[in-house]
This record gives sequence, structure tokens and C-alpha cells, in this order.
Amino acid sequence: MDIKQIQELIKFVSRSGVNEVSIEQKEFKITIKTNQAPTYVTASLPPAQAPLPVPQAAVAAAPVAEGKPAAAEPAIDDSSRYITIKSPMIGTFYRSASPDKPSFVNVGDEVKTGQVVCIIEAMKLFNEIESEVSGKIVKILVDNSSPVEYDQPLFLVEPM
Amino acid sequence: MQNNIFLGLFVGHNTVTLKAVDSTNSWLKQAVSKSAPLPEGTVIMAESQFAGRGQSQNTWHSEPGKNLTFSILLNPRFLPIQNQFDLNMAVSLAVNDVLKIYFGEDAYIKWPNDSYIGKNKIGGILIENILQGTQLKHAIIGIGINVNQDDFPPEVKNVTSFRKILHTYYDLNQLKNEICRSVEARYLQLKAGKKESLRKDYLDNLYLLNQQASYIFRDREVEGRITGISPEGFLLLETAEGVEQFGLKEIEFKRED
Repeated sequence: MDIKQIQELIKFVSRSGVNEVSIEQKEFKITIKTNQAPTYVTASLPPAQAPLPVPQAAVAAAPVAEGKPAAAEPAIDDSSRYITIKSPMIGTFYRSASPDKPSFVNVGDEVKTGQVVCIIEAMKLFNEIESEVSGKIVKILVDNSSPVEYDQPLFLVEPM
Repeated sequence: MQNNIFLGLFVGHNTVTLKAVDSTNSWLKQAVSKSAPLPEGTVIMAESQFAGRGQSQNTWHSEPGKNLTFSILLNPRFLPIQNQFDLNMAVSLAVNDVLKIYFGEDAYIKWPNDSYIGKNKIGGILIENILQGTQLKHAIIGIGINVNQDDFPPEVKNVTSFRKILHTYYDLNQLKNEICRSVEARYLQLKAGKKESLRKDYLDNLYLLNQQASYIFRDREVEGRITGISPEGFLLLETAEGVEQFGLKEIEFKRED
């Protein structure tokens, strides 16, 4: 482990909020303790939710076809400019990491490539699905904790 | 360090021990997404885990410092996501292989991935994958084993531990190293494409395979016999009405007292 990695590690430990971390490698051992409350400055970090343009609400209010999500697609006039995030597998669709956690994304949210948008669970294997596009969530096509098929559309995203 | 002589090629060489953490899986997931790349095989071990998770909302009842709770980072990019049950089989077997050293033929895998000794649960596995498109990027393997805990809340039935059965204390670190080495061996087997032998070993160690037992599905109790597992991991159950396949939430094993 070089100095840079150690610096990275210290930064990471202080951010994670744990009190003590020890790492053992072949001929190397390091223990990092953070006795006091972390004093790093959070000034430059913008809140995760960027302010959203208000008109988006109109789209959110559009009636959502319950039950047959896949059939809902043609109902959107301009669907051609939207990108669909599809399920890569058969499983159960979850919008949050656990029932007491907030949804990963909501209609109107901006998502970036690589951002987790949902979990598909299959046989107790939990798969975090990352967005492959950057854009705005226009529509969520599946209800929380309902079964999904391979290739079933999950989200409509307006690329930006 | 000295401990590493018990380890294999890569799993566990980079071990981070935390005094207390909500869940080693969550910690590792965050670490993977936020910091510099962690080496494959990194292990996060918790001395005390205060929000360990089982299947969805089931929390893991663990007294601080008594049980083994750790997570392993693997990067199974070679595995097509539709074959991810193979990873589940590999990890379940790895834990079972170690349990057999201590408990012999009483150690079973209860579908899909619980560890049983006789009729009681001694451990569980929680696998969380991070996908990019249709590609598996990371698999975070959370393993929980009841080791030195003797008392369990009365409402938790059918639970056991090393201590409850063998009446002695076990070194958590040593056990962790044994499991890491075993996970590595089974993972390399998976990577080498030895699917069929994994599948055979999984079935050979499957709880209640080919035995009559009671199951609950569609709100009724039915006698049946597990005949196998589908490639996707569905449970194949033979009842008077023929062989049917079941997903995780569609069937329940009826508990025997």
C-alpha cells in the first residue's frame, strides 16, 4: 500500500462514519481510528436532489396504466424520444433497498449513467440495476414489489 | 501476516475489520461505488453488526462479537446474469463444505441458500449484485454464521449455533479464513465452467431432497418431495398432481417441531 492509497483510505474511513478500521495484508497492517466527530467540510457538496423544473409535474400526473405496464407505452405521444430502461432478467422489482428506505428514483428525478434505479430480486439474489443513460425519469412503468419479465420496460427516461 | 497461511489465492487477503457497522454488505456496496477500486476478494468483517439483514426484512439475530458476519467482494464478470443462481450454488456449497468439517453429514443447504444442521438453521447468505446493463460487475457475498451464541430469543425457532451443538467456543477469525478459502475454491470451480459438478454437489447436499415432507403453497398444506432445482434456481417439487416449479415466495417449508 502506498501513501496515496493510505490517504484515500483515511479519507474513505472518515467519510464512512465508522470509528475504527484495521486492514491486514501480506506484510502490512494499518489501523485507522477516528476518535472525534469527523471535522471535514461538506461545503462543496451539492445536495443530491438538484432543484427540478416545475412543469415536470404535468407528466407525473398523467394517468398510469395499472396492471399492464408494458401496454402503457403507446399511450405516450412522444415516446420515441424517450429511452426505456428494461429489466435484464426475470425477478421481482423493488424501487428501494428496503421497505423503510426512500425510493432510488422518482418521476421527475434526474439520473446519471451508473446511478442505481431499482433492485431486481431473483431467488434471493438482489441485483442493483444501474442506469445506462443520463436523463430525467418520465415514467415508472412497474409497481413496487411486482414480478417482472426479461426485457420488460421499467422506466422511461428523457435523455439529456 | 501469520493468518494468511490459512488463506488461498485472493479471497480474504485484503481484510477490513470494523468494530461496529450496520451491515457489512451495505458498507462494501458503498465502498465499491464510492472509493478507489477494491481488489476482488476483499473481506469486510464486523465485530458487531447492528442491522444485519436476512431475506428482505428479516433481521439477523446476532449478539455482539459472538457470531461470524462478513462480506466478500467478487467480480464475476464472466457470469451471464441469467446464470447467477450458479453463483448462489457455489457460495452455498462453500459454506456447507466448511460446516461438514464440524458437523459431518448433518450439514445441509436449505434451498436456496440457508445453512442447516439437521433441522435447524445455523447460517445464511445474502448475495447482492451490482449490474451495469446486462453485465454483472460486482457480487457482494454476505455470510452470517451463528458461532458462539448460546441463547436465542424464544420467538426465533429452529435456530442453532456451533456452541449449541458442540458446547465449545470457536475462533471467529479462523472460521472466517476457512470459509474464505472454501469460497475461493468453489468460485474458481465456477469460473472454470465446472457447472455440472457444482450442480451435482449442490443437489447432493440439499435439505430434504427426495424425501417426503410438508410444504405450504397457495394457502394449503401439501405433501411433496423435492426432485431437483431448475437451471434458474426454481425448486422442483413433486406432489400428487405432478412436478411443479416454485419461486422463492411461492412456497414455504412447513416447520417441524
